[in-house]
Amino acid sequence: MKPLKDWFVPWLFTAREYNTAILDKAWAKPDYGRLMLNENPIPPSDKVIQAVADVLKKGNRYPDSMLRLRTKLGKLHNVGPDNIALCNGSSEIIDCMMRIFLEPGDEFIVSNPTFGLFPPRAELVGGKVVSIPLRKEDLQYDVDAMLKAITPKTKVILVINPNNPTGIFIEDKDLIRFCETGIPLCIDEAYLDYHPEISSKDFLLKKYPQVFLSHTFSKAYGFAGIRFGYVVGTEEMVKAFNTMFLPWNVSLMSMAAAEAILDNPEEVAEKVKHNNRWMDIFTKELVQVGLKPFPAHGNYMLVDATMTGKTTAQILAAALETEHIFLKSIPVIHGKDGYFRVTPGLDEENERFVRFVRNYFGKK
Amino acid sequence: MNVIDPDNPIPKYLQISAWIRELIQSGRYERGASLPSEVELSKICQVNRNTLRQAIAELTAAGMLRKEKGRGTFVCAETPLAVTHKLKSISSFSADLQELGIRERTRIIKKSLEGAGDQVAKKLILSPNGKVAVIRRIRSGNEVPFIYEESYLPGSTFRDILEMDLTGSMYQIINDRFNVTLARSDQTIRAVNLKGRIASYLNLPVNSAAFFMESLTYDENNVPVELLYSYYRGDKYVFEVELGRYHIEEDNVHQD
Repeated sequence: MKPLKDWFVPWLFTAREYNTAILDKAWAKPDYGRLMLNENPIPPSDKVIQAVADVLKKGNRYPDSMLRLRTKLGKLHNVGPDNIALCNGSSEIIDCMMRIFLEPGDEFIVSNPTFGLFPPRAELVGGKVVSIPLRKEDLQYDVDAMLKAITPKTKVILVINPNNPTGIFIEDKDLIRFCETGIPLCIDEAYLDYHPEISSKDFLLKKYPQVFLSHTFSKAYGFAGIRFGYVVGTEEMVKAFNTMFLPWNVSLMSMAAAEAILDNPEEVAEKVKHNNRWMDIFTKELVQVGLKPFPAHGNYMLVDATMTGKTTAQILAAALETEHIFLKSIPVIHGKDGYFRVTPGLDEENERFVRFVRNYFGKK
Repeated sequence: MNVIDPDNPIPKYLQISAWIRELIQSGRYERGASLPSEVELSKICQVNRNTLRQAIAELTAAGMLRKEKGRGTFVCAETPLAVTHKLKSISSFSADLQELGIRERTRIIKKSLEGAGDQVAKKLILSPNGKVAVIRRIRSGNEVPFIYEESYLPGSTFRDILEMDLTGSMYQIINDRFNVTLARSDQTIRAVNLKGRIASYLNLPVNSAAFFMESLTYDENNVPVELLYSYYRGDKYVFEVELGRYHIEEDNVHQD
């Protein structure tokens, strides 16, 4: 009999892995600071919890298409309910965009480093990931190099704005160069909600129907465990996503939670305020000890500690050991080891991080 | 002349009331004029007096006729004219009147930014604590009030409308000043008897017959932009609907 592994599609073995093992470690140590996953440290409000509890009583029923929720989300982007597809976190968009656009052998252009979930999802449909390094001098998108990498096999391009892990915004003129290629473009706005003063790129959709936006409630809204996200696109694009998404992909409870928090924007504003206050404090503290934090615009900060001679692995281990905080490991960039990423947690966890920075990197 | 068409399936009394209504609306009988006696009318119409009384009762209930004991039946509609509103595309009162060449006058009773309340918030898909611009107006033609209306618009978008001149078509303003295209409207119409405040706005006795219309109007994106509650005087408004061909239902196979 043929061994089981021979039945599997070949890319199941060749696709890179998105490792979530850190979650098990973090859940197992509830008193450790989780400053590594770009989570929101503030739990859902009572209003959200009540809305979920209320709808749970109807949990025996299949959900409908949630016209009300789609309309409310559409209003955020000056589009209608048919321009919004709901999903179970933007991770579902990341998966489905590959299945919508890529056939085996087709290419997906992405910058490097990027959010680690994108490459494996492309590879798991037999797609080829074309990674273009960020510019060496400022870690901005290397637009020229990305455009140069386009071949007839290129079927979708990714721009995260602000970018992950750098937290840097792309300029409109650069973004439009991608749009002008006519190749499907995903603009991931996962972290945009931390900057309500910066507008969404939704204005591009009318002119460029091949562009779509990916949104998640896992960040500023604090729904990483509740799971909720949505696509914004033309009706044709949204229809494609809805065809690829499973029916009933979002639970009634997630949708009720989403509507409750949309009806109570102060909840998000407070979470954003907490985050941005600590981002400023972190920046000051890191600069003070001679590290280079990147001007970040999400709930995370990429820190260049390569000048200290410490490796990423050493920094992470020390933070875990001395202050019981998890930091995010960042792979070597342009041959240099010693980058890490940090996300503000609760006040007390952040104070531990500041103490770690002072003690570990500060002058002895 | 035959008032009643025996081949017409519409009940005789309704054919008669339609005929009398037309006589009034065309100006043949003006306000205050008395109708011929019931005996005369039943002869003209070739029906018995019971049928005739039914027809008169219909028009009395609609506020068009008034019976006075021992004196006869009088016309009490204030103007022979009725406004026709076609339920075909979104059109404004201003446009309805223009078609008739009547001068429009609009009186603003109240305009303000208010909390939406559950029902309005639900219809306009706002958050329960959302705000709405509310505009309450009386629409008149030739000094006769025709409609009392309450318009609810999402406050976030339309707050500034409260500062604008609202004595004309709001649809024009929504289109021109807010760049919102009114793409479609869901409307329901039902009969009501006017309560005190609204009856007095329309210069009618309490409990007069009226049409109550609820319109929920959407923009091009299928987002609701206006909830409108309108009270149309029953004696002054005619709604016209054009229907397509009769559709023969085929045997539907029900699928789950």
